[in-house]
Amino acid sequence: MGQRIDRVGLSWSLGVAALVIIAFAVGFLWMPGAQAGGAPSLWSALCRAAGITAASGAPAAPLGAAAIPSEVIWTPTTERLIVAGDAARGSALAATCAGCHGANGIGASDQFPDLAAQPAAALYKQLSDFHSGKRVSPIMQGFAATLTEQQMADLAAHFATLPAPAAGAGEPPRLVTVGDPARGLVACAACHGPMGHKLGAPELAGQKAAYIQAQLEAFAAGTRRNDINQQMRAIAHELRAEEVSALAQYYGGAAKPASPPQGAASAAQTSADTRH
Amino acid sequence: MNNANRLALTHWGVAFAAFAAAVILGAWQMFVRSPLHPWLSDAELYYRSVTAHGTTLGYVFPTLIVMGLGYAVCATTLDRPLRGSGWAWAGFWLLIAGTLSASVSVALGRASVLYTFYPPLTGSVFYYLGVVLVVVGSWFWIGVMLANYWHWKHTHPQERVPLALFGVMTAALLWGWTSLGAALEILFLILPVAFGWKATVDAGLARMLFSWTLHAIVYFWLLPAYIAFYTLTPKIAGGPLYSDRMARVSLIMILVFAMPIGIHHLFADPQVGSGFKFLHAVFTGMVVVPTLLTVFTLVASLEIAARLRGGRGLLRWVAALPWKRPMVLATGLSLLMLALGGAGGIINMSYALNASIHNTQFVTGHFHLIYGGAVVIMYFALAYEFWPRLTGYPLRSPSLARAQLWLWFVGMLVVTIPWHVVGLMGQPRRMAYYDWSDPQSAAQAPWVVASALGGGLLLISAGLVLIILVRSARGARAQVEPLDYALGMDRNVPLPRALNSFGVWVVLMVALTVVNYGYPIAQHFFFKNTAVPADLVAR
Repeated sequence: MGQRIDRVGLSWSLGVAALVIIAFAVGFLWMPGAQAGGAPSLWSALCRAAGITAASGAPAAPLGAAAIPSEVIWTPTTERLIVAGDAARGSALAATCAGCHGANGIGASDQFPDLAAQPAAALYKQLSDFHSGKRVSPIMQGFAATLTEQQMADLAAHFATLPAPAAGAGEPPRLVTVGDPARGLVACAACHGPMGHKLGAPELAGQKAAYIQAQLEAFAAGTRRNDINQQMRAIAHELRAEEVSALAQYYGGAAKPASPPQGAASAAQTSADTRH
Repeated sequence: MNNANRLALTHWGVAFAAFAAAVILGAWQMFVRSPLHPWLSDAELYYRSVTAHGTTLGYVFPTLIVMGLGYAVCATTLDRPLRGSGWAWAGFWLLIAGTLSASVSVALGRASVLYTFYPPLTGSVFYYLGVVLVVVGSWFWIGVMLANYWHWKHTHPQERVPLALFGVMTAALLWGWTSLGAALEILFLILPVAFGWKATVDAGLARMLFSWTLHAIVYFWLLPAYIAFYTLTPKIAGGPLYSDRMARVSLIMILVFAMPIGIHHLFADPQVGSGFKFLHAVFTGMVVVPTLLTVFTLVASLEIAARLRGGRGLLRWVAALPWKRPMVLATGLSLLMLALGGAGGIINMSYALNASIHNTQFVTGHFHLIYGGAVVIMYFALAYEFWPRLTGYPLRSPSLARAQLWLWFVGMLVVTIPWHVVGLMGQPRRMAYYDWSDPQSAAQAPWVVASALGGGLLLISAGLVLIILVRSARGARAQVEPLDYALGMDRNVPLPRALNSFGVWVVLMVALTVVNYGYPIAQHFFFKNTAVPADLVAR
């Protein structure tokens, strides 16, 4: 009886070992050569089959400074820094900002964005990008250059606590609620609210229409390039001019009943027109 | 009621309650993304629902069913009270605590990470801790099963381990080894990130460890069905098991081969070498063998039973089987789904063919057909067979039970055949909505509508399960005949000791894991090229 255990167990183990050897021979010696259309050296065949390529080893291919869109990385450390921002200290620093962005974070001019009630992470990221030069603006780069990380977090905390500008309640364009999957466009609402709030993405409801329009055009033209993974550049590049203005109007102008939402009908219409 | 029966009943009661809730979510998901419903304005809800549906039906429901089956089998095969029932209850309550912790996190939208643990997407700490508790609870069950098995072996040194117990032990050992991968992934890679202690996570290593668990877990789900095929169906059909030895060989092959093959889930992962992908494809092919052996043995057993009942002819004997018995009916329907789903599975596991259906709805169709169909229908049959023995109340509505099984079968085919088709047409899986106005997706729309209607059938069928079980427990108490397992025709032929124990097979399973997974895991410690910043969904 004792011998039979060994026989059954042993013969099975040998069978499995034989299968391993055959599979290794095919997978590691024959297949890599066959796939490359010719026999590579034994060593390179083995490496390829094991998944070792020229790119292995280096943590990530080094990128040129221009290819890095932002110095902000959303790690828990960054988040803790932002959460620890002190609104009271920020309020003192914000005296400088009031000239353009208003004492309550809502400015008079169409050129300058409203900052009130924006998510602290979004405010921090833009300040940091101005500070590092990743976002270009002669005015803002000058202001941000001297700020410390803590001061940027304080300012972000201050503006985040201010009451939000009035937002309208128009019918949202389809691009806002569902995007346009055929063109690979994700819904605006997925990151900018209310559907989802991507960390670092600004709130768009109530923002100035002219500012939104200008930013979408800058992303499309590639003159603004501080969006991580080129998300906004890729989206804005796909948008047609009338869609850009419809979006800007919806977010910024929806508050005014005088400008009816052109979104739903026109975006759906144009999107259907170009299908083929 | 003895303690093992109470354990089994409690596990199964909770399992079916959770099951019904998760089926509602599944039907809802199919409906809202079909052309029958406008696009969801909040896609997060869809992913939240998928997470709940998958976590419940992938981890909680089958684990509870297998655990309950283990206790029920102990109660009926050991001829003595269950040892370690305190540990068993502790495991159960850990599992319940884990389920609550995970489901609250999911319901609050703090863990919409789907049920597969693929970083950098990372959810709430409480979701992962909940899953860990579920797994640890099931480890208590493994311990109880091992203790009872060893004690039985010790007191019955010359005897053949009852086949049902052998099957349950296969499930326990397989689960013990295969749950390790996901457990290591959660403890060492995901939790440090979810707690905020670490900012980056090695997504490649995490995926590799999850693949360790991902395939064999399906065999863990499958084993109750195989145990029913071998030990209950032949007897209920009126015959013996064709070959006890073949049953053991199949169970052992599943134990050895089910786990070290998981890289077939990573065929599209560039950091995994093609040689290892091929190696795993070959060994995935090996698990087809025990399935074919099982189908052969089962059909042979059914033919013997049919001929004993007077069946004649080359195929006419099929009509002589007692199809009125839920177990026999479920077995027949299960085999049909297993055949279809198995054929699709061969496409999934083929290194080259996989590319055409990778991450499409074809995959979803495959595992719903195999697990949701072929396996879960056997869970129903097991419940109908065991429930009266556990409660003392006979099954009150056998005709309703038959209708329920048919409805599940038809519903599952109506759901999954269209999924296979649209998968071949290129429909990606795990999407909250599809653009049906796009000409490319428009052709898929009728199929998707049909499958959503199939979801409705499944929902009705799942409701019937609860009605049948609850109605039966509210009927009149009556004497229920004790459970009788099928015995092999070869029961008097001496069994090699290797087929009556697990030692050598566990060694082989571990050795094969080292060969097949050693380097693919180790490479991440040399090349750290897959470490990425974590993406926390719960803030």
